[in-house]
Amino acid sequence: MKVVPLGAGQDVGRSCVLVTLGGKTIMFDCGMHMGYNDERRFPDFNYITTEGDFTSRIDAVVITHFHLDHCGALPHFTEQRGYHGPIYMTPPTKAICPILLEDFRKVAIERKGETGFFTSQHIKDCMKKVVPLHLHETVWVDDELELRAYYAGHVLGAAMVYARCGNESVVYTGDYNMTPDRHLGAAWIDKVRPDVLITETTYGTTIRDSKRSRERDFLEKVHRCVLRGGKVLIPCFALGRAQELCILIDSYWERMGLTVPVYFSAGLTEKANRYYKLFINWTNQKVKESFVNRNPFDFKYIKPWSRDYADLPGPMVVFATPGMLHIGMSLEVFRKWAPDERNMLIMPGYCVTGTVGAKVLSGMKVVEIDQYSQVQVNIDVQNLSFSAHADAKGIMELIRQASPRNVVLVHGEKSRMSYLKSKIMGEFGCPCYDPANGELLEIETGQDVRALMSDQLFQAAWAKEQERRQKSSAALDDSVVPAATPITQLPVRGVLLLGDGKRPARLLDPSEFDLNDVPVVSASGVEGDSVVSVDADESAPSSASDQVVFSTRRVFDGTELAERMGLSSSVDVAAAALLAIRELLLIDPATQPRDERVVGGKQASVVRVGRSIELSVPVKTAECDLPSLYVSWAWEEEELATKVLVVINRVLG
Amino acid sequence: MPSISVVSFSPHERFHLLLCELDDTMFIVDCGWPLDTLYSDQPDDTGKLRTAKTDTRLDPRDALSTINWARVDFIILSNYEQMALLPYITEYTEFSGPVYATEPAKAYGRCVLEEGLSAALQGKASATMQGGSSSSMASTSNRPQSSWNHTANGWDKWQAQLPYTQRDIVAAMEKITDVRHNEVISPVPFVQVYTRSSGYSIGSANWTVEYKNHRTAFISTSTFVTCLHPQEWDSKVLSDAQAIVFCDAVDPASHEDDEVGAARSNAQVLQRINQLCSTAISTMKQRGRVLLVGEPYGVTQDIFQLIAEHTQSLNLPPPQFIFISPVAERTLQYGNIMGEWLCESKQALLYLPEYPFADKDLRQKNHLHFVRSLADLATRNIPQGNWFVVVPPHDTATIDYFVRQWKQDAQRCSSAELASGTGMAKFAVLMHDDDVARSQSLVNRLTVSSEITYVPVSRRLTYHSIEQSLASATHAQHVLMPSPVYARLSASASKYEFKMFEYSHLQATTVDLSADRHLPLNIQKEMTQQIKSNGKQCAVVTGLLSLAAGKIRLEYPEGHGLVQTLTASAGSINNDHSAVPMSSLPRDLSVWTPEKLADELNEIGINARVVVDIPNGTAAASSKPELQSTSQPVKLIKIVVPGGSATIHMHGGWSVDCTSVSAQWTVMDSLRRVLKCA
Repeated sequence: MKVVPLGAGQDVGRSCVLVTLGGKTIMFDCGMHMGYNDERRFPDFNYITTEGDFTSRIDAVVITHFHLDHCGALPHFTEQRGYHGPIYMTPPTKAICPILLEDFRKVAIERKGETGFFTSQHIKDCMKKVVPLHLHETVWVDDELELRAYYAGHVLGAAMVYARCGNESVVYTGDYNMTPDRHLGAAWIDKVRPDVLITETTYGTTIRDSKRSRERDFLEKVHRCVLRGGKVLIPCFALGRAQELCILIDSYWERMGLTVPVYFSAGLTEKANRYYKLFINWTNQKVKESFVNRNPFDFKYIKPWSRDYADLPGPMVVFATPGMLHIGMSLEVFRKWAPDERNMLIMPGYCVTGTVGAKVLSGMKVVEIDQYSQVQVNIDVQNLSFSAHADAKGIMELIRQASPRNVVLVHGEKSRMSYLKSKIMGEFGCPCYDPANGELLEIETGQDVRALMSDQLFQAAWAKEQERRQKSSAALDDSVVPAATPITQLPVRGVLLLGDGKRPARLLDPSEFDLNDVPVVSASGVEGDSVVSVDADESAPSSASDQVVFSTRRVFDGTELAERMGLSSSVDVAAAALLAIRELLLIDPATQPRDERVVGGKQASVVRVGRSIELSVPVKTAECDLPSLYVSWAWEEEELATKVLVVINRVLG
Repeated sequence: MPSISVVSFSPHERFHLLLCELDDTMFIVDCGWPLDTLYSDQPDDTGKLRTAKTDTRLDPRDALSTINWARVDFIILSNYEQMALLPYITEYTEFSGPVYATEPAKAYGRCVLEEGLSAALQGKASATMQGGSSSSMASTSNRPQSSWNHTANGWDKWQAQLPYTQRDIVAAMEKITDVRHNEVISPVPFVQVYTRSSGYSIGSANWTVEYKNHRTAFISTSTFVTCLHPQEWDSKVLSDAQAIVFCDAVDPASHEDDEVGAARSNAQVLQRINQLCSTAISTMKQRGRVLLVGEPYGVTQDIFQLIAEHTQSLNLPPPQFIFISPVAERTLQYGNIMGEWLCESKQALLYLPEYPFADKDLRQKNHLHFVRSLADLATRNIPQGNWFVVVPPHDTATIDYFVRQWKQDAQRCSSAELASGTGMAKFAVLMHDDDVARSQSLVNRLTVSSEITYVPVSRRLTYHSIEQSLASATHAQHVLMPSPVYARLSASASKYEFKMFEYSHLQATTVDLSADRHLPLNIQKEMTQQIKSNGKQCAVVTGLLSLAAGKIRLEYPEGHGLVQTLTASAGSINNDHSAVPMSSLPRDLSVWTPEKLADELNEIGINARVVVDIPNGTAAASSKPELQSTSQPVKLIKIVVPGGSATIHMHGGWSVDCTSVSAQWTVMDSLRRVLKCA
């Protein structure tokens, strides 16, 4: 299996990981880097091909959630670079992703005057190609490649994706959170035992305080500020974080009985909240259960904002767009409130360099709003990270859940990854990699061989195990209930036939083993085989006077057998049959032929099994010229002889 | 050969309860039972009208008592109409396995059960109180007198007879595991189940049970109709399956034109819904009132949606929509958060984002009211005027009340209004229930036949569409259908490549499946590598099979474990060989003379005689060198048995020479017996 990070290798941003498994290539995420304005902003798609034919090289693109560092480059890739294959997203991601893309596009074009950026139409066209991927649903991309999404809990609609093709499987986590928060549940995955688990490591080294305590911290800060009569400005984008913060404030106000007004500016319309209301199934159980009485995203304390309110005296909390303070209502309010040190500015998101938001965050005390005006920044600036990522403990927990054979770390800083890497290798003993961008990682998959198992063999093993259990439980104590523990392991013994190109490997009961399963050994091929001479210590079976020796002439239909084995008429059927029998006897150690002796030329030989069993081609006599085999054995070895006879019968039909 | 057996436990065509046995795995498909008969053990007039189906009075508890519930591995539920007996099964039987249903089926199923239970309690309460005390309840005295013992004692007794309580419903629902369409789950090892959308109702599913590469599809209530709100029918369920079990088909009575195929049934349903809507709209245009008889889910949601849209587009004064049901608020709300389970056009709304149903909007404008019961309505202050009332069909008391009240209003209203046929003078009763018998009895009860519009919106599969759909069942080998469907379709059975079977109530139908007799297996890679490195294509292996998550994996036993290609261990095998090993028998062969042995053999019925022969001349020339070396005449025993003959040389050790295999077994066996006796 091959893994290449095109982005997010030893880095955070522009997540994009290519995985080739079972001959199929999947691109997990297609994000952009917020820290760059040049070509480094997008993943290096030229790595895939420089000819632009992406569709034939990539079988599917899977987007895990709507954050721009995971989906930002998608319209560029599909509309400008010409990928036309399938794209998979969960329904909430499909719904919210275009809004964020459109917003970012506006910032890029209108703010920075970039050209060549994807257009609104590109975003729309791109979204039309998206196939919804529901949680736990098995989606077949084609006949071989299957995808399955698991809940990731990072944001609404975030998913971890399991992909399998042939014998190889991979889990790509995207961003995930292992602790439930106020509106989302915790990430969870089956024990899928993938060959490779590709996990994010944003907070890989820290054991962080839970998101709940950060939420409490945020609420206390806001509360303190309004208590001292200050105004709180929270610039954020209309969708996503806004709803997360609103739900916090709304429930806190309810709980604390606060009456300080909370407003949201025009950008944060009912329409944006509606996304959350419609996809309430993707929130946690608690939210879901209470929704009939009141949808938690029907905010009770949050009222629409009017421009005039900015000049009102007294405390208030305002959510305003956009998040980077570069334009619009949030900038207007900021300009009014910035000089007052009682006020507070909470920046919950990322700011593009050059925006007012970035300047304020960097600690500048005087900020130029535009080329004509500047503003004194006395306001209390708080940067607040709410992004819900798993910490080291969470990452270890997920690895334990999924039980992968290899772990690949992405979406984190290199220095931190190395710490986590040693920890994972130490605790799970599985190889762990942290490839850089563009570094091809080839992982040998010690994957199980897929095979078929004979039902008969399984039933027999099952019955035997049940019998054994009943016996042992009967021997132990009557109070022990035998059915209390399910059978999870049972010993088995069978013939394993390796597969060839056409047929898969099969595990069969020795009795089911058929002649046409054995590769036909031509009579001439055996000639070169080393012929073991008779053991020196072999005691002649007939020497004992109390010996009972049986011998049987087994007559068979020569033409029918020749047909079955595909022999030409010139070959001595009996000799060929003997060779085939020998081949079959080799399979079972119990009936391992001891040696063989070439008697009178290459066609006739004797096969000996055990101490006394002999198989030979009889000398043809006048009375009996039918093809036959001569078998003899001492009575002591009756059991073994029976086995040999069964094999003979199978060959001779 | 694996086989599947199907026993139907439900005597009703609309409801299914199938007990299936697939080799050792036992499972239940659907737990359907008509709710109204579940709670009443006395036939009411509707019951009598039901074409005297006496078995509808059957107590489900009796029917279910024949099932060994401890052995049932799991239950799969198709849609929310097929859950009536689930609380009884999970709470009062020994069943302890998992139950699977889709999330909407679970959410709506709970509503359906709770509504049924509360209706029963309410109906009973009013009946016991002899008509009730409040004026609004007085209408219930219209209910036909049943032979109830009208005492408090009877009430208690009746309550004790209920198959389950509200608490049981909640408990049962908590035991349901949510699944999605196409989610593969493995309730027991080697059995995998998954659902595909059946199109009938929100979250409705057709289950496929996969066992040893053999897929059995259970086609529960389904529809090919695509103009309603649920997610569309997924035809893959038929094309994948080797065996198909159909559960029901449309009641022919609700479908005059039985030859309606998949394509036309869509148009027909659409036309019928439009007919209902236009009746409602025209009544409302005349400022009249509308009573819609229907459960607050399913087709009612579509009709309600259509009417809400029409009133808006026609700029009519928005009516007051009133749902009289204890669960209506929830069922309508669920519709808006389960957008991912809706039809394509409604799913597309999610991305705009718009609510898939209009009720959210109406509710915000205060034009939508949820009333738990008729008694509750009296306490609510709903503006009078053009009401649009939705009442579930089982709530006959409420229906009676409205019809009577509105009729009185019509009689009392002014002559001007009467003449123009507007306002209070006008009202309409709409019914869409596809249970024709129930609806017909309701129509007969109501004395205002002129105002009733009964248009059954039957969306279930018709015989014809079942027949059409079978064309896509390309892998099918066996198709099972209930007797009535079989009776209709068996004539055309010859044109299919698969075999058709029928099943009927309480009759086990068993079908042998020509399944691939192989189970999927994962083998530890090292094992195959070892064989390969030994240059072999096959080898005897000893290992552990570990069973986890429905998968089998062959591993090395703990600690060590090897592919036994070369280590012979003959002694350890076949310890349970029944025959007495020869080595334990008395070995003093010298006491035997040829004559004695021949006698003994003759004794047990073997034709044996002593002959004198010269070894070189014997026909059965032995290859034994020591025998050939003797040239003196020796005494031999010749045995002739059916299928061959044998010669016993008693010279030194015994040597038994047989001419055929069958002879050899006979001789061996007789010798063993002879020697043992001696």
